[in-house]
Amino acid sequence: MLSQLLSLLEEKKDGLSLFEISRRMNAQPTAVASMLDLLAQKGKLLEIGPDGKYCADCGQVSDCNLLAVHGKRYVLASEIVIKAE
Amino acid sequence: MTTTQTFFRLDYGSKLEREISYLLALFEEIKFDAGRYPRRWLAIKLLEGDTDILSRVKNMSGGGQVIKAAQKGAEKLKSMLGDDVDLLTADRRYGYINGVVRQSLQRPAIDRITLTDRIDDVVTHKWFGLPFFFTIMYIMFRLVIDVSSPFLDWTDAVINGPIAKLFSFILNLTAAPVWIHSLVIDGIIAGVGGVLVFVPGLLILYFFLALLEDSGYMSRAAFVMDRFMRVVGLHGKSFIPMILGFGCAVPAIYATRTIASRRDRILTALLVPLMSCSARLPVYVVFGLAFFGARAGTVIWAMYALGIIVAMVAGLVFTRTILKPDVSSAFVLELPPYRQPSMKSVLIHMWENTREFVRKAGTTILFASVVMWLLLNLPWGVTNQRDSYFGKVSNGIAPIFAPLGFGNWETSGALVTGFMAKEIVVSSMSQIYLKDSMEENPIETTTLSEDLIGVGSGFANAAISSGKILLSIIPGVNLVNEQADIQDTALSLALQNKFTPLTAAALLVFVLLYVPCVATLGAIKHEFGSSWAVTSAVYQTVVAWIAAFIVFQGGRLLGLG
Repeated sequence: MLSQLLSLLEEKKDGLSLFEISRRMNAQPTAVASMLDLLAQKGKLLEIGPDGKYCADCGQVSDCNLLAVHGKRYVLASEIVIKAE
Repeated sequence: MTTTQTFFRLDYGSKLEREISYLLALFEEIKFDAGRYPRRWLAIKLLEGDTDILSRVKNMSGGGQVIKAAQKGAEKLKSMLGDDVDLLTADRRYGYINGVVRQSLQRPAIDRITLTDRIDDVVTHKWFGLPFFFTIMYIMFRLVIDVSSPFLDWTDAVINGPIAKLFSFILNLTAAPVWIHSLVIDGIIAGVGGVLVFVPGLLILYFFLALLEDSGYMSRAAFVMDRFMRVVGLHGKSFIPMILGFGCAVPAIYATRTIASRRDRILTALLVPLMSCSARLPVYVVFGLAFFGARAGTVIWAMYALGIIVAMVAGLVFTRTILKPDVSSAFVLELPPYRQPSMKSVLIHMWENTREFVRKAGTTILFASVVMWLLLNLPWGVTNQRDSYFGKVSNGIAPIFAPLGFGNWETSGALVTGFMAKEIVVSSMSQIYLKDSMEENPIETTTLSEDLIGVGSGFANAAISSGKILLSIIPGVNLVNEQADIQDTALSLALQNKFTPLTAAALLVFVLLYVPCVATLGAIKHEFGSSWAVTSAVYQTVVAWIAAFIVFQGGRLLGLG
């Protein structure tokens, strides 16, 4: 399931919503959400947005209404590593 | 009677099972006492590298040997299967659970497609999503301008009437010197007041933006634009800071931190100032009302759309020249369900954003107004503003703007002051143009009670006019006499003698695109260094000049002015 999820994210460069992923994997959205969290914990995905590391040190984050209405967002860590290299 | 208890055992696959079996055999061989832990479970946890279990086993007899064997097994599995053991076991567990759920749970199909899904099918549609977004923005700006217009007139009348008179009365009472009188009335009231006139418009703009954010539509807008921006070669995540740029470019520049790659952050920061921030709105409203009447809302919407289009084109140019793209990353965007906006939350957002604008009027714009007044009156005793230091410097740079249709010292000077903050363009124009207007049309003498009645009845009339405009949105209802209900502010009237609709359009395009304000450049310098701040200032000014040139000269060729 996890490798299937990672393959799906690598394949869909345009991004996917949680519900799209759950439909494609034929899995419950809550199960997909916990898989995403696990992959983020294991460093396979990076969480971005209001709760993610990239906003944590921004002085404007508490005033950022737009970011506040967004849910969790992730990017593939492998892609970031490729860029950093 | 005896019962046979059977334990569930998940099969983790042959390779993992082999390592588990090896560890279990080792436990037997060295007579390892696992204490209260089931042996198979303990073997799996050791292979997963569970830190808590590792620290406990370390203190057990033979623990060191068991841990060493588990670590060796985990490394072997990782080299064979390409992942950590804990991910491999989690994968098997998720697969098993999903299989059980699929076999045992049947959900009615209708539960899977919610109302949010149905709405999203339309608003985030590949082809309809973008026109829907622009239609929403168009309706919003029409409403902002049409509904706020009567209140703008009312605020303008209050500031240039009773408030100016009150200050004048106090200054006369205290026998203040003429220069203080001029500083307060021609400098501060004209400068700060000229900007505060637009507070009702901003209140309504922020109300609608908060409504869109709270309903959940803004995330859809980001999603729609995300796909569109990828088509034109930009990074998908760039649109979130760009939407923030509609409010103010400074937090939007800092919001680029949500983007992982430095190259993408720089590119987004270069494009964010092209989004029309709320500070430019007063300039659009003044010129829109003065020259485009009932079409002011459409003109303002066009400015916002033009900002997005120029950003797209600039993005394409940058991605093919100095900021070539690297590997594109996958992007997961969780769209929150639609919800009924909370009025309290909408009002709080509206107030917080407007308060920031008012605070800026009381600090930056107040300071700029005083400096501007000084520059307009130095050398001391100068009678014609054109001969002041400000007038002379502005006159010197005016030829640069001549091909754009506004090569006079007043406009050139006002545009230069806009470098501090875009609202100051209006504040400076108010000081320059309203001084003449006030001298030609001195404030009428009225009593305090007449003023108070005028303020109250003016507000009531503005509320009635706005209500009529709002009701006229309903198809078939028309309570508005467009020509009678859309009035001009004092500055709009003064500008009508100095500009034509074509020069006004060229000026609006220039104001939309030219050098970002000093606070935005400061944010770019802070995040990316001086060279990118200079790049931003130079390229935007060049683009603004070219775009305004095309509008003015193109309009003349077409016989529009």
